[in-house]
Amino acid sequence: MKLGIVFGILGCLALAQEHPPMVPPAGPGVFTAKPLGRDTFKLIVAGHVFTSRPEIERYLAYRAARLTVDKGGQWFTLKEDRAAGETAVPVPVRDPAGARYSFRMNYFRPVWRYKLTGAAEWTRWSPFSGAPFPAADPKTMSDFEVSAEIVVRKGPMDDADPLAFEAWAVSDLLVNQVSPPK
Amino acid sequence: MAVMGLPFLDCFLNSKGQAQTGGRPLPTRFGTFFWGCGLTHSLWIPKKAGTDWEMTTQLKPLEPFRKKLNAFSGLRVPLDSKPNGQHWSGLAAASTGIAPARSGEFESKTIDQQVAEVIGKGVRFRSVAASASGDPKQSYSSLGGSNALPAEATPLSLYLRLFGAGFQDPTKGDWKPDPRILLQKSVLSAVAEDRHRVMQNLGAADRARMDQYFTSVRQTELQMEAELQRPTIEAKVAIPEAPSKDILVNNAWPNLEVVTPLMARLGAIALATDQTRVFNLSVSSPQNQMFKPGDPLGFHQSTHEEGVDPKLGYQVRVAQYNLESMQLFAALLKELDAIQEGDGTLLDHSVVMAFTDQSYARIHSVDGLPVLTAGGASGRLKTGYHVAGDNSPVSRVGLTLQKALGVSVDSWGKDSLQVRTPYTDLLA
Amino acid sequence: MLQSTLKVCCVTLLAVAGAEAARWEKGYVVAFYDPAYRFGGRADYSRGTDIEPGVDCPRGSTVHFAVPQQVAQSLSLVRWRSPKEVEELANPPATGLTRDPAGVYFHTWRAASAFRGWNREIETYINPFAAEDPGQPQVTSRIGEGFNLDGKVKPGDFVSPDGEKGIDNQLYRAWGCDAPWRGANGNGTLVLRSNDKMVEGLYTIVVRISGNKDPMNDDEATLEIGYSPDQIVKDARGNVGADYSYRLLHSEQYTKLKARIKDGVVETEQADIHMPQIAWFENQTRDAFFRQGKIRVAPNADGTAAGLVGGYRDFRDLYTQNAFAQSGGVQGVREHEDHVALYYALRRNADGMYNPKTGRYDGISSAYRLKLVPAFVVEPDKPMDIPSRISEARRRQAFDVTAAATIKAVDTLIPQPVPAGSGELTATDGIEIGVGGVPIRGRGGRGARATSSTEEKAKGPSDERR
Repeated sequence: MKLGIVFGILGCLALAQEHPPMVPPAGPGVFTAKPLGRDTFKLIVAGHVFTSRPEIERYLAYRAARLTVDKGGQWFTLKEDRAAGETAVPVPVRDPAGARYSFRMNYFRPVWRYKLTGAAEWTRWSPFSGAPFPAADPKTMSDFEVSAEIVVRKGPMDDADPLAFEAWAVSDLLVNQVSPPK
Repeated sequence: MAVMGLPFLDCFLNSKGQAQTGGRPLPTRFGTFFWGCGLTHSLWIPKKAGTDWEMTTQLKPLEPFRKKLNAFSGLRVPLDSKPNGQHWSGLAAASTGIAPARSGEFESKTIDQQVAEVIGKGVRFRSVAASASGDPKQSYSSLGGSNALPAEATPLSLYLRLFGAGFQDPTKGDWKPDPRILLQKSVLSAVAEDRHRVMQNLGAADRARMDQYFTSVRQTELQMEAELQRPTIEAKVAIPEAPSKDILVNNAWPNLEVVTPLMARLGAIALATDQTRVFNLSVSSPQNQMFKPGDPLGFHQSTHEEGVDPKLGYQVRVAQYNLESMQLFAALLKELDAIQEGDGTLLDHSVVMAFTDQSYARIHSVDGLPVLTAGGASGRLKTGYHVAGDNSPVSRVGLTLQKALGVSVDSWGKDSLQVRTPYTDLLA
Repeated sequence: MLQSTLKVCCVTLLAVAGAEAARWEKGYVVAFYDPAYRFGGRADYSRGTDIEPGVDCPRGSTVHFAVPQQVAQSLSLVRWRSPKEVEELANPPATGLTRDPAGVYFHTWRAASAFRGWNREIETYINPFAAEDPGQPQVTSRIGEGFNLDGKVKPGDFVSPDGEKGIDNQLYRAWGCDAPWRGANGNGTLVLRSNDKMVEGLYTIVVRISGNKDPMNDDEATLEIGYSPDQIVKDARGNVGADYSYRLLHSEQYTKLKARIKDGVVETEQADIHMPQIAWFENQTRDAFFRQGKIRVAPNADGTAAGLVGGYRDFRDLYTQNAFAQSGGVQGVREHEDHVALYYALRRNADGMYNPKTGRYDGISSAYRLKLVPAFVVEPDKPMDIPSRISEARRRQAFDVTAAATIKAVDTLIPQPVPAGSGELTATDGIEIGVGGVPIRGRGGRGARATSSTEEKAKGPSDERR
């Protein structure tokens, strides 16, 4: 057990160094939240230095949760951004894996667009298209944007909706894991 | 180098002062049987008390021994200010008469050791413990504190302890004292003779320590004396061949079904041949890990996880494990009762106390702890009774058994578990 | 003059004597104490050994760590575990005569459950927020017991069985489907167990009601509740005996409240209440602190009474009380509850003790039932404090350090390591838990697992019993 504790302590110290406990402020233009309606927002996280897909998507999820809290909501739903033909990944049905009574982070699936070094055009990547991420080496990305449209909601969460996310819980879960991209 | 004869000890007398067999008494033996996680109230407690009790589902395996059995229901385990150490307080209270302050510790010698002090002298082993599920630490025989006397954990190790090196078969005509014992004894005697001179030059504390030392020397001497004398036996038994070392010993029910009778037989032969007079057999730890292949939970985990069938009113799988625990107890009794000696069987000349740790394992309850005894203590204990729900402390059973075994004790236990009145109706 | 003065004095004395004669007092000892979770199924209905789902929990009680499929679902939320690893953990090899399936499942699952954070090194039960929520089924029925603590009628409030609206008992909403606490007639495992331990002497609660008017109608009565150092006395049938004497300590677990009595029903003012909390291990015995609390006592015809105590309780107290008597994993696997899910459910339903620093609620409305048996409640001869059991000091310390680490973690959201001496990761049956949720053979003990080798078992005593 002692060994376990030592590992635990060392691990957490390492964690504390790698991930500051509170999320540092984002640089200009990294995060934008554009209102599309009274409770609907288009969120975009943009950057130039690609780290990893989960890391950047988690930062977007964290910002979605914080925005929900700031707007007085308890939960938000993600509106999946499916372009025509992006059906390789099916639309999740209610309670897809049986009773959950909670949210599932793996249903937070934002859409990407990026530019590879030297390219002038944006390339779209959808998690619903079935295409691997991304087609080219992500380390060669010079610009990227990850976006999600969310609806801020109040009251008890619809826990059978796979696209519903509990704001405080998402925020607490991610607060130590995320930092804004550069 | 003189060989000293044993003094004539009380335990050599039988209770009624009757003529002794062959000039030496047929000893009364004591045994314990421990199983974990108790029984199911509604399935083991007979509705009727006295001798006319109806056989119940969970006592059914003991039916052949019903007339030699006593069942005690409704026993209390008052803990006073002690914590309820789950899976511990009940077993410690039953075996010491004291609610323990700490889990895993006994606050006195366990009953088998208290009894062994009286009846266990003059034989090779003061007591022997065996664990049918293969764990040498699975022993509830203790001199007090957190240490238990280690159990023999395989049939082979039990066999070797009892009938291996140093064993002289008393059933054979060529019995003679082991020369190694004679040599050891001479060394000890030389040490003991210096006692007076050594003690004169010591302070009080050191004298106390030396006293303890010489006491243990004396005990060793007594044991050697015993080993230098041919045990007198009445039973017609043959020492069996050594069991295979390949027998699988663990908590699997099919293995317990094989190992328990095997160990019981070895223990019975050891008692019959007067190698020991106290034999302790446990078939599980208090958190009974017995399992059936294919059962994902096993006994203990089922007590916590299995739901109570609302119609039946009990946990079905747990009830089956309870029943099987009683089958294992029956296996021990069968071996003891199979050996004829004198005017009865070895079981008739013994008392076995079967005890457990919980009365309702699902919630770690101890009040209502089931205790069963078997054997008539050479006629000193009446049997065939269901002593029902009289709300006595569990220690009353232990006091009664000690009285039946001739232990000179006025009261037994501590605090609310202290009892002065045995079940006098059971004492012959 | 003298005569009239004497007359006045006599009248005054008589008046005083009359007032003295009207003073009355009733005492009770608590014989049953459980959370006011209203079971919505039928007591005599079952599906096998499962109790009826009922209107309270339409999908039944929790099934955490009950079957491999559920365990696989839960562990699949841990992103550093591969699907293959999850499958192996959910279905540990445990067949044949040589393996003990109970031990393999139990230790594999409790070990894996203790490391579900976003990083392999984070112990989950001390840092529940760092694991994804496995989900707790919540009570869906509208009827619930308790008090209207905030004086409002809100959408999520319950209606009491006798029709009162606005009942605040969000603890029932959050935890009412939790397997060990759910059942008909107080038949949940931990309900039974905690009451068995209370009656066995783990702790005693007494209530004293007094006044100067009519015991059936008194608007200036007093209700006291608190810890008694005297163990509950059972009658010959093993029930809690009536009319025994108990001392009431004026300790940190004592409260005196103003009360009004109408037609025999006592209802106190709303104030902070300190009294013993439910416990089934000594290390859990401590103050249950109800904010804005209230007590109601309704007499029964046989002299007993039904009590209800409610108020807002700190979610951190509730979480640690339930999780750390032994360890989160041991209790979770054994009782089919998941403390991570319970944590999230508490936070989700918290509705009191607003914390302006965080903008969140730290308290949750709650109610507990008390069955009261008549007793003589008396003052101790001399002031005394709640006695402590020295033999339980190590376990108490284990609870305290673990709870402190958890509170620090949830307050700061910085994952905390397992503190030295904590019961988390301690060997059970000689099995310790390594980082990442790996069961490892630790120190054996008497009665330790038979699957271990003799040499391993001979190392020393185990730390904990299940």
